[in-house]
Amino acid sequence: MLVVQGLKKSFRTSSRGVVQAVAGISFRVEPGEIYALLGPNGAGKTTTLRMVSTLVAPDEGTLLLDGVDARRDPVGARVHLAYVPAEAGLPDRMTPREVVTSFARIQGVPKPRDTADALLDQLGATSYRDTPCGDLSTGMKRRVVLARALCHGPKILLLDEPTDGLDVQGRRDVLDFVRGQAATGRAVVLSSHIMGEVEQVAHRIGVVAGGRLVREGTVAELLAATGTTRLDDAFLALVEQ
Amino acid sequence: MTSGAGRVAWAVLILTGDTIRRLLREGLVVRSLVWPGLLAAASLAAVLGVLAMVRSEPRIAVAPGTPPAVVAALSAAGLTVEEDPDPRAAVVGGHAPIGTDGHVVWSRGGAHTLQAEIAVRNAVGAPWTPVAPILGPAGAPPVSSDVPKLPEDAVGRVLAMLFMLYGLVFGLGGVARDRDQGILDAELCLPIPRWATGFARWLGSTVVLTGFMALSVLLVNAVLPLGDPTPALVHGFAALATSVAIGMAVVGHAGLKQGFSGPFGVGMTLTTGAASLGLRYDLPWVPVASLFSTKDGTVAALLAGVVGVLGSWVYARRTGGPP
Repeated sequence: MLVVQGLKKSFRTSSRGVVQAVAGISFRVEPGEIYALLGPNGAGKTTTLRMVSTLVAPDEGTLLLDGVDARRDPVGARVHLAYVPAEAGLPDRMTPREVVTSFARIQGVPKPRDTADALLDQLGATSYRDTPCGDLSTGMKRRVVLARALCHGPKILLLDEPTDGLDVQGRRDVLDFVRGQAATGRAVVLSSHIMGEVEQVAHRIGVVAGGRLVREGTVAELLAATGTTRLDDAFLALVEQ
Repeated sequence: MTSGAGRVAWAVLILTGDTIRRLLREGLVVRSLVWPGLLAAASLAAVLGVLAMVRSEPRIAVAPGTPPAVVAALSAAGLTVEEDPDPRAAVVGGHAPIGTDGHVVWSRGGAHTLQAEIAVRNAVGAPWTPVAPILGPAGAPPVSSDVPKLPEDAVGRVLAMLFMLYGLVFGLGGVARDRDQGILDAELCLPIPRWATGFARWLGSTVVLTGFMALSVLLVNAVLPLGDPTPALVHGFAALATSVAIGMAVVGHAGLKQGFSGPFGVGMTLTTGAASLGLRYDLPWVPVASLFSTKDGTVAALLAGVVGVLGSWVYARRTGGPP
């Protein structure tokens, strides 16, 4: 389970001074649940995900990953999470098999090579598992990144813009995969600004604007709260409030 | 590998292996061997070219009426005397390097011109003659200078300096590139302390660069007589290991918003500044500054390891997020 309580983060910039990127976001995600952070560009979605993934230290707030206080014990918290950034994030000169095996070894997974092969097979990446990552398409890389993230069986999966740059089939595959992960009991948090895919997969949605969580709930709850019939209308109504 | 320390050591080992594998596949082998090859070839060509330019035969064309005392003096100076009806024309036409009629010496330059002039002046009783060697009378102390003398294996040290710059580029560029491509994010999400990922990067880069620096120095040493290559290797290791750490530290310190150029400028200033300082003052125990020191570099090499750990720590502190 993931608990985020009153998370805040500000950055100092040379042009705008101190900018409050996240101004006190709170939410919790249960095992098996898919929670989507929905917001316009610059709303604070990625900063929130980066704080949850322990890549960025929060200024304030509580962050519990499967009961481990990530601010006090970030290394211990990382055991329970997998973060998939928007960028491909794969070394060009290593093969998918090498990348996943290496991460599995570091994570202490027994039989790391077998685990890597099984995951790549599960994600449909067997045919190019020995091809250098630099030669792979965006969709292929996305599958490899997912395999690398999941090699240690994390309880919490964080996905930043998971379908960014993918074609229709690639998007469908990733969304099916996300559903499958939740079905195995993982808590999944994804950030996106694409209404359609959020509507398809998310159990609950958190609408983020100006660094704050302006509303959260199921699609039906958001529509009812804004008196709209479509998620994009509800989103715009909430963001403009 | 369940204990904390064991898990970290295991992770460092694997990440170091990955760093080495990536660097080797990026063509470092070829590039690092091309440089010393080119350097050795250029040095040989330069040496041969200079020799060809300054080389002069111990031969002098002498006009038919030249006094016998002059001819005898020239022979005594070790010059081969050849009679020529017009010595000036022989020199101008390139048929003889030096010529004389007993009063005037014509020359195309070269080391034997001075000998010919001295012989002629002495033979005709000139009021003054040059004295050779020209730097001072025999037994005089050498010309003094407060600039420290370069070590005999300066070419090897220059080569090590090239690898020091390589180290800066690899340390800094590797982090900057992996950060831009999102590779760093995945690495920093591993359940190990951040300094460990930085240390693995430093160690991997240092191991690879040291191996190829050694290969390059030994290769050049086989072609050019550099003397004992060991000091160049020890001081070179200290310099490149330190420059890798400096590269990682400056790019980490610059934070996420900085690209490559700004931190690279800082890193270049630090490394070349330290190397220049070492040229002016003998600092055998300071890594990088010790590059041209004539003294033992063991302390500098050991300190380079400490700098590597410090660089990894700065990298971990400033890359963003908790340790």
